Amino acid sequence: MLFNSFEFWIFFAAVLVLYARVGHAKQNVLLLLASYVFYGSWDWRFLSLVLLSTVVDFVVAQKIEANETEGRRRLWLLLSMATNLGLLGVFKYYDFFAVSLVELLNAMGIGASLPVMKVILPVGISFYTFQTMSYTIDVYRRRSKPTRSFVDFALFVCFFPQLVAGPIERASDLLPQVQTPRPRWVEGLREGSYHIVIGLFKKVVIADNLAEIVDAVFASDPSTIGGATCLVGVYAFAFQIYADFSGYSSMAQGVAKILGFDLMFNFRMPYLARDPSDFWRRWHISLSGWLRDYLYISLGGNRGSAWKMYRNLMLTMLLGGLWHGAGWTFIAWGAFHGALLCAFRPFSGKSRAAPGRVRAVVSIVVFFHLVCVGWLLFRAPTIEYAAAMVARIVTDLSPSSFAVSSMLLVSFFTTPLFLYELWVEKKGNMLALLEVSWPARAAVYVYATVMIVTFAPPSRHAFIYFQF
Amino acid sequence: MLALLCVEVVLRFGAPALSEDVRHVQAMPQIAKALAKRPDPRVLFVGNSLTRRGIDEQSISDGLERAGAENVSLARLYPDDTRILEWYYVALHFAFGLDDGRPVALVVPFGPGHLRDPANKDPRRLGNSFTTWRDLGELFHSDIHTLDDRAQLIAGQLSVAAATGPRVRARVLDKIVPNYRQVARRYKTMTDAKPTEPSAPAPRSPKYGILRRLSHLSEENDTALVLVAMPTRLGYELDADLRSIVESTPTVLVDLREAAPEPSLHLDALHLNQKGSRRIGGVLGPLLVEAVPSLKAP
Repeated sequence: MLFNSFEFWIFFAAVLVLYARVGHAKQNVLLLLASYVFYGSWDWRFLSLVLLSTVVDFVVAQKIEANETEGRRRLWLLLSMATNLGLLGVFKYYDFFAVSLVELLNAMGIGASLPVMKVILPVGISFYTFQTMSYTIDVYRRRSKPTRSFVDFALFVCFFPQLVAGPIERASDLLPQVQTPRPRWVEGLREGSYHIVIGLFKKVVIADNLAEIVDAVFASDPSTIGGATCLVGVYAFAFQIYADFSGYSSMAQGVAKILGFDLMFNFRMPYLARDPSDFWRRWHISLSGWLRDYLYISLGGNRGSAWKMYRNLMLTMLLGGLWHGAGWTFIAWGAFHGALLCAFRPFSGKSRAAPGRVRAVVSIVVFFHLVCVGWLLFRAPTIEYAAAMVARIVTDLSPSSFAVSSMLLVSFFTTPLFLYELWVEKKGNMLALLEVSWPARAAVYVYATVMIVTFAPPSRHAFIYFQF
Repeated sequence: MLALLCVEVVLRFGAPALSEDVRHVQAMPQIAKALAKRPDPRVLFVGNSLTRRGIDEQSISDGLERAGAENVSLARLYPDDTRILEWYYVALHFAFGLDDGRPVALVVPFGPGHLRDPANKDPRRLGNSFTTWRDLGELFHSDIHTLDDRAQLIAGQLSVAAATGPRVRARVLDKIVPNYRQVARRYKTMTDAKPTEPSAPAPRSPKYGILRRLSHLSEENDTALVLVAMPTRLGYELDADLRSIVESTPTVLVDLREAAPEPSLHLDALHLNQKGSRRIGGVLGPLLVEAVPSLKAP
């Protein structure tokens, strides 16, 4: 049930009609049932995994709260971690590590074999396990109180707008909204509709149209296409993945807002970042915040020697890469971003000083291209493939008419969004559009709606981040 | 909502200007009615651009006359980018849905894969251009199964904007991007050329459920169904399942795949040029008379 499908909107309308007619307690039960139906529409069997995580973490949080001895509290926390990371390990990583280990042993001349499971990856497993783990860790760290209501907690874990691709919300932000009565749905309609229109525009008009270019380029042998075409493919993917994921997050925010919930902004114009730290404050903010608070700081963060800080940065980003998928390209992507963070670290104090306009533009352009190198690793089927594309880009950048036409297509779809985001950045307010005069707002809505209706490509694409 | 309404109004009046095909689709009821008013025997051709480019009415009339079938009334319906699913509903409405004046023969010129049940459908266009509310029962039962596709079908029946979006998109991109259609075709070729994973399941054998329904419908209406395998530059195979349908039903297959082997008769990889369509007309006329003897005057 994709956000860009009629099926979802029929489902949401039905939920909203019932939601508007019942009181707070029943609203939570309704949303919980709706969330299970939503998740079950992918595969009912995987509901058992969400339920397992939910039951374990609900019980564990109570036990942690009830125990004063540090050792026992830690044991209960370890049970939660083992359950959630165990689910991730089995369903997401086991086959990858088993195959990699066997390949390594065989390369060393040691004959070995391990069974592989070839299980389907449960949609959204990385998102909800991280969300529920943050709850038990916060209770363990005494930053949150556990809830006594199973329904409230279960709804926190599987609230359908953000269940399958985030934002990864913290218990301290989302649980209180579950527990207390929320504003009536009409009060969130204005802001919610804004998020939904912007999200649909990003997904349907930008991401799905660019997907045709990206899929074509990355399905080709790099030696058979020119370097300019490879480069356009990488640019197209950079905007596709941004529009796809931020579009999803925006629609999640909009749907949640209409239901009376405030979800966090997961993106803040990431391609206007000037350095890696700036980028990670703008890109997939809920994950980068999670990794910072629960991994980087747990490893020691900035404390200790410079060497330890660099080690912590590299480890955090490597695991961040691995979070995305069980594959060497994701690990390489994480390592690349870790290396960028380390390389820029000595200059971080200087780069914060307000730069001149030219320097700011140069920083943005240079850093965007570094991010693109990362996206090449992320999208390529193998590291060898990524290397072959880089080789083509470096050695043969003569623009073919095909590459020029493709670049025009990329520009046509992305330029309006880019200009809009420049304006939002200048205003310094993510909801700046809601504060302008109604004719200007109407013009943006009309443009976005016309584009959504008329520029949807022939085939619909699933959200990229559903696979994680 | 207001924005959506504006788009709808603009496209409701402006859609015919978008393409010749939209105008043809809108003219299909008139073409069918005009054929029904003409004297017997009547032959209706239903297909896509292969029919538009490859079926020349004058050459076929000449061929029919040479074979002894004079004064046969002919008409063609050829909505672009359609295949058996759309043709079924076109035939249902414009060959068999008229009170009188039904054709004695329904001729379906086809190319590679056109007769197979489609893996990818465009429910919005199907809803807008080829079906009505009265078809919903059959559509939901036999052709459109998921809630999302059904909602798209209904959106297409209600809204011109929902159905003609792809045409607006193509028109605008044609103006902005040089050689947009060629570029888009190349994307598709590049994507399709990707080798499949060794572990990927083998493709299922083709299904011809809709063709069987069309055959049954034709039989019920005493209309001969004639399938014409059109020549293409690269050629294609007719699989065993298709042949078995032809053998087990009154449907007739006319195989013209080798009727225009010269490259000079082809416009592109799929379509014939004018010379090629005249060649096919000359060949097809007598074969139609052979397949449908009632075309000859008693």
